[in-house]
Amino acid sequence: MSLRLLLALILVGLTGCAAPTLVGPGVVRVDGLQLQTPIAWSQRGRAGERQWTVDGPLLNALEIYTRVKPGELLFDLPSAKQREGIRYREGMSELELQELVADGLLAAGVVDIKLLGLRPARLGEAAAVEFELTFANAAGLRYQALALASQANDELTLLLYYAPAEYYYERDRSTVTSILRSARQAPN
Amino acid sequence: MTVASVALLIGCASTAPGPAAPGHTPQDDASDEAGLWYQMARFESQLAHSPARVQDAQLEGYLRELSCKVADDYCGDLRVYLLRAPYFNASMAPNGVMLVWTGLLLRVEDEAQLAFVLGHELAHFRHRDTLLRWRRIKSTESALAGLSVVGGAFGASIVGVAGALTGYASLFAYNRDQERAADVFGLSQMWQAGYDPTAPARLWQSLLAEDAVRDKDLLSGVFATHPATAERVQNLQQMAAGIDCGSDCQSSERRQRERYQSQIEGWRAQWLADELGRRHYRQSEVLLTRLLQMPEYGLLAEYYLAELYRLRQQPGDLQRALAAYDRAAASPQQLPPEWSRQRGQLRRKLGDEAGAAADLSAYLKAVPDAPDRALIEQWLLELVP
Repeated sequence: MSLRLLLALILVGLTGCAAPTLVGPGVVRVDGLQLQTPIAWSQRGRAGERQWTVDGPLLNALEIYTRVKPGELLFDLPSAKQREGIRYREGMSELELQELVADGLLAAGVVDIKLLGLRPARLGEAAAVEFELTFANAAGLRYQALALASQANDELTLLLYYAPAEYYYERDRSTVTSILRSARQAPN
Repeated sequence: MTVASVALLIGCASTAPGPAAPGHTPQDDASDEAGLWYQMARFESQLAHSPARVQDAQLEGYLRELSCKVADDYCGDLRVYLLRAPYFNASMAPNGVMLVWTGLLLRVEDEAQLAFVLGHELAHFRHRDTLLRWRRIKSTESALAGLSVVGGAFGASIVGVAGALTGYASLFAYNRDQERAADVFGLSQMWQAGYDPTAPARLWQSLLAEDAVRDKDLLSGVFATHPATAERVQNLQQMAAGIDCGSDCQSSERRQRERYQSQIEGWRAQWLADELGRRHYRQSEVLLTRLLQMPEYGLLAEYYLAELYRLRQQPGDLQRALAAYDRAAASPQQLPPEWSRQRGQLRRKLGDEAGAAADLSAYLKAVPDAPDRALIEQWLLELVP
């Protein structure tokens, strides 16, 4: 769900299609991933595509994509289906992962994406990359985003947090950063 | 607009409106035309502040000046906006809002071709084709579809520009007769403004190959509603053959081309990057191969062709990308500053450690405050322990 569900919610008004559940605070398992969250979130979505939010996805959202396989669309948007490229491929470099997320966001309809920073990171034992972006929505509201992407066993894990740059992003940034730092593959 | 008023509009007869005279505005506030103008005025107020609008007063001024030259008596009716969207499209709203997309400017080669497109769009305004289309949507589709066409434009959402434009674009899906009439009018207007009447056929001829491989989503823009067909090219060629161009229009062709290309010079790299961001490799490859032949693009097109191959990674693409990067590197001042990082990334992937290290070091030297410095430094440590 996430971007795809959000699109459906906004454009078609399917407000009742996905009943949210409450997750956290504490240690939470999400589709094979273990996260520690200091606050509670409202969760929607399906296995492999979860969206957490506190105030509603227009104001803050942490999207959790797990077990994305080579050839799969990162954001399963109708507008992306007929494109050749916005798909995960095994062995992508850190820069290519950032490009994939940025172009996926463009396909979702955001504009004016700017990369603020990109650095090596960890997702548990696995190498990862962390990067920050800004973009604007159609109404001109500027958003800031923080992403953590990691590949293991030819599968991609992506955590993507975004919120309006004014107030909301900074308000929850340290909370989200602590969640990203806690992320690891859940023990069996 | 309320559901009740939409229902009233659906009841309106789908009669063809007459041509709009210069300075035309709806006379009856209760008419469906007034309703459409109201919706379009809302759209325009959102558009004016949209982040998708290209804020370049000089370029918008140039477009306005050119559209006035072609529009003649209708100049005062037009307001031109440039929209950052990597698709070949332009549209004309019934209230005089002309929308030109950056993907169109990327594909147009000279001022004469652009003058034709603007004249073509003016024809839709003059013939009030959008009003007719609006009535058709309401009578043959549904009230909700009608509302979503303009009412949903630029809603407050994280996603939206693409969706809004898709709805907006559906208002401009004209029938074949309307398109033909707009071609005739556009060609006539640009010729009377002093442009070479063979330019329209050249434009569509150059787009035929792209049209054959285009993506079929609505945002294919004009391609979706104005197909580039051999028949269209033939019609435009026949029209031009019947016109005496005179010595003026042909002698000024080079000057018109230079004037147009100088206007877009600072935007080419961004528009090419936006084109690749669509990740529709087949169409972009056709376009870039054409731009490669144009002296104004040259090595810049070569660089973005390298980027396309690097992203696509079909068999042989990485070698093609490296060769294209090497060719583009002959004139690095024409390229975006990250060009050496991109080639270094590819060389690293291909196992050329020394070459990769040289390129990545050059990138950090050229862009001292690079946002990805931490990653590149880590790569360099791995490459040169």
